Amino acid sequence: MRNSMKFILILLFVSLMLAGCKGKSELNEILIVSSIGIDQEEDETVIHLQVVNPSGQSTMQGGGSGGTVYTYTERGRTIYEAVKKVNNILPRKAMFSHMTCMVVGEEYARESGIAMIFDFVERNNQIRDNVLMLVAKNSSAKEILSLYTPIFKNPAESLNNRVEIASATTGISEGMTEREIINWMYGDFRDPVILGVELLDLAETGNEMSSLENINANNKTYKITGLALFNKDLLTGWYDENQTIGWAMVNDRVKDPFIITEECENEDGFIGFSVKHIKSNVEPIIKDSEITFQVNISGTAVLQELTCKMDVSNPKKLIDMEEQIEASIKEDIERAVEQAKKQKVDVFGFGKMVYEKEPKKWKETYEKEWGREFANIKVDPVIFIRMESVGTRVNSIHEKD
Amino acid sequence: MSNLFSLFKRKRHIPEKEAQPSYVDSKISINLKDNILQMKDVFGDSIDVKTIHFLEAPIPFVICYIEGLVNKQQLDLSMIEPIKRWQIENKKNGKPVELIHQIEVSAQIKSSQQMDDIITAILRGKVGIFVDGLDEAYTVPLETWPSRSVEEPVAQTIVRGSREGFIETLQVNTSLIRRRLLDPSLRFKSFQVGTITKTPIMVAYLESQVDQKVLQEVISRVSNINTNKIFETGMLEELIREKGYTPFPTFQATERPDTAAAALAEGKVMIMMEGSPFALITPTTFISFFQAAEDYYHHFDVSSFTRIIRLISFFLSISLSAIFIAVTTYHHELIPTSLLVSLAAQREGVPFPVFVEALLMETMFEILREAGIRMPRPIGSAVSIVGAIVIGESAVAAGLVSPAIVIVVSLSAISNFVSPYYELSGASRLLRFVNMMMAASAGMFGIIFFFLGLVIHLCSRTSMGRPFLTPIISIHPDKLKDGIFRLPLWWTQTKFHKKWVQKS
Repeated sequence: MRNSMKFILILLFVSLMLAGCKGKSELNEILIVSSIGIDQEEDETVIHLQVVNPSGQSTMQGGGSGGTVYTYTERGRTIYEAVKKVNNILPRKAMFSHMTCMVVGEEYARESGIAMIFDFVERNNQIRDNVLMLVAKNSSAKEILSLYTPIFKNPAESLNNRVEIASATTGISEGMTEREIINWMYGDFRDPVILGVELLDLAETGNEMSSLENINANNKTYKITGLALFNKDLLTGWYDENQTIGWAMVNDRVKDPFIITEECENEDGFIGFSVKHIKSNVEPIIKDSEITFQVNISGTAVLQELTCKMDVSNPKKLIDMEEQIEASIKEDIERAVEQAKKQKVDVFGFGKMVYEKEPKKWKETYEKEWGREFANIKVDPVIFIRMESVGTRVNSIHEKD
Repeated sequence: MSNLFSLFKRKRHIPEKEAQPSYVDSKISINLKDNILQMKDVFGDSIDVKTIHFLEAPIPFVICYIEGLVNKQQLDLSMIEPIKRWQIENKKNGKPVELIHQIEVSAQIKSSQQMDDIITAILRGKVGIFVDGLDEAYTVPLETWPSRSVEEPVAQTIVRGSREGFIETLQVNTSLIRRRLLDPSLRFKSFQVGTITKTPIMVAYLESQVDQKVLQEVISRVSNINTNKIFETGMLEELIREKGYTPFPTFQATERPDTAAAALAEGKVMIMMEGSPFALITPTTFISFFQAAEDYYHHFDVSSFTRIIRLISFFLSISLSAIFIAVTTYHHELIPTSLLVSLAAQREGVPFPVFVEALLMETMFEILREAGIRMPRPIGSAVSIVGAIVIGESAVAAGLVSPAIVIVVSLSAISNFVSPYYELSGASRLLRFVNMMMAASAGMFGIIFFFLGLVIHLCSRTSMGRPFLTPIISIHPDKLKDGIFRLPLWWTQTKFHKKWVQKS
C-alpha cells in the first residue's frame, strides 16, 4: 500500500518533469505586439505589427535605446499568411496577448471587408477578444500606426486613451471591441459600426522620434471621428460627430457627459451645455405593416457657457433651454437614422428588437425582407432633459445692469 | 526499493539493552571503607568530586559532593559544624542514626540503600553522606549553581506584555509558571532522558483542564525515548514527534512564561527541560504559529489585522518568488501591459532565466542570513555591509539580476520572519524552493499542484493525536473565534476551550 502510494507519487513527479518547461519563454525572448494594422495593397493584404521596444520605453537606467515602438510590415494573400511571413523579419517571438488595438485601413474596409479579420483573430489563442477596433478615415492603417504622439510613448495606448476622451464630442466612451462587432455581425442581425480615427495634419507626419522635440503637436496627433458604417462587412459610409451622438443615444452607450452648443434665441451668441446621466431604452411598436421605434431618453444638463444676455434665474428660460437641448438631440437621432436608412444598414439593432418582440412574425415576414422593411421604419424619439444647474454663477458675465 | 525505505523507518520504540555499570545493583555497605572504595571506583580520581573523610571522629563518616554544584558555605554551616559539635559533646555515646538528625537544612534529607540512587543524587548536586555502621546513605539537598537571571526573551520579543523569559534552570522556569497560574491543580511531572546526560524533563499540565488522552500520549512518548544524549528541547521535539515527514514544526517552542501559562490554561501540555530556555507546547495547531502572546494584550481589531498580515506574509514567503517566476515565464498575459514592458526592459541584458536569477538571490540571502547568525559579534557589521552589496543595487548594476527580482526576493525573505515562532520560517524557506521549482517547470499549474499537495499534507498531519489544522478544517463557529481572527475576550473566553478538549 505504502509502496504503491510512493510509486504513484514518483510517477506524478516524473510526469511533471516531462511536461516541464514546455511553453516557457523569458521576458527577453518575446516581442510584445501592441497593435496591429491592416491595409489593402492591390490584391494583397498588408499587415503592420507594431511591437514595443522595452528598453526604449523604460524610464530608468539611463533611458532607453532606440524608438519606443517599431512597425513591421509584411504582405500576404490572407492575414494569417502575412503574420506567418512577418515572423521571418521579427527579431523575437511575437506575443499577441497584450495587443490592445487594431486599426483597419479605409481601403481595406471598403474593398476586402472586415469579415476576413475575425476568423483569424477568433482562432488565435493569444489575441484577446476585447481588442479595440478602429477604422482609419481617409488614410491607411500604416499612416496611423507610424506616428509618434507626444506624452504617450506607445501609439496603441495613445489611441485607447483618445477613445475615452473623445466621448465629449462623439458621446461614445467605450470604443467598439472585436467581441462586440462579432456579436453584432453574426448574432444580432445587425450591421456593425466602428469608431473612426483620422490624421489631423496629413501633410507632414511625425514618424520619427526626433519630431517629438518640435513644440507643435497638431502634426503628430489624430482625432477620433464619427462612426464608420458597415454593410455586413463592407464599409459604406461615415457618420459625422452629431450623428454619432444620435447613434450613441439610441444604443444607450453614453457614459460620460458630452457637449451641445446652441445658438441664442433673438440674439447673437451661443449657449453651451454638457449633457450627462443619459439613460435610454428603445421600444418597438409593431402595428400592421408599420413599425415604430419609440426611443425614450432621459438625462440632465448643466449650463457651461453663455455668450449672450439671458436671465437664467428665470425658470421659464430654463425650460426653454431644456427644449432646445431636446430638439438638438432629436435632430441628431433623426439624422443618424436617416443616413442609416439611406445606406440601408441597420446599425441600431432594430431588427433584433423586432425579433425579440415578435419572434414568429420576424421569421415569417421580416427576416428575409428586412433590408426593404428597414427603409420604412419610423423612429420616434421621446426626450426628457432636465436642467440640473446653471454652473457656479447665475448672470451672464456679459450682462451689465 | 523497500529495503531503501526501511532505512528511514523509526526506531524509537525498540528498547535497547545496554551494558550497565557495576554499581547499579550494589547496596550500601555497613563498613564505611567498602563504600569509600566503591565511590573511588565509580568516580575515579576526577578532581571535581570531593570526598571528605572524617574517619578519626567518634562516629566516622564521609561526605561526598561535586565541586561547584553545592553551596559550600551552607555545607559548612548546616552540616559539618553541627555534626562536629554533636560529636564533641557526646563523645562515644551517640548512635550513628542520630548523626543525621543534627543536620540543619530546610529540605528533605533522603536515604537509600542503593548505591545507584546515591550516585545519581550526588551527580545532581546533592551532598552524599556515608556513616559508619549504617547500611544506608543519605543525600542532603544543598545544590546551587550559577544560573542566568531571568531576562527578556531574545527570540520572541514583544512590545507590550511581560518581559520575563525562561532560563536554563528548570526550577526557575517552574516557579515562573507557578507564579502565573495559582491554580492548585497545576502539576509538574518529572522524567529523565538520556542514558549519558540523564537530563531532567518536566511535563506540566493543569489537572482540571488537560485532555487526559493527550497527557497519556505525551507521558508515554516521553518515557519511551531511547537516546543517550539530549541537550535541547529541539532534540526532544524530534524524538517524540509524530511518524512521517513534515517540514512544519509540530510543537510550539516558546521562551515566554505567559504564553506557556496561557497554553496550560487552555488545557494543553507543556514539556520543559533542564538546560533549555524553550518550553514545548502540545498539541499544536497550524494557526497557533500565527498567534503571538501579544495579540491578546492589544486591541482585538488590531490583533486580528496583524494575524491576517502574518498569514499573508506566510503565503508570500512561500509563493511570491514562485508566482513571479510562473507569471514572467509562462503567463505574460496576466501582467498589466505597462508593467510587462517595464519588466521586459529590466531583463534586457540579464544573462540568466528568471528561475536561475531567483534561485541565485534566494541562495545569497540564505547565506547572508546564516552568516549573520554564526558570525562572531565583533565582525557582525560586515554582514550588513556585504548584504547591501550582494542583494541590492550592486547586483543589479553588475548585470547579474534584474531589479524586480531583488524586490521580490527581499519581500519574500523578510515576510519569512513575521511569524512569532522562528521554527515556521524554516519550513516556509524549504517549501519556497520546492514551489519555485514547480513554478519553473510547470508555471501556475505547478504552483496549484504544490498547494494541493501542501493542503493534503497539512490535513493529514496530527499533533499528539489531534489534527494539525484544527479550527480551520473543522468548521465550528466557536473554535473560529480565536483562530484567524481574534475576537474580543468577553466573547471568546466562553467555555469552548474545555469543550474542545473534551470533544476532540
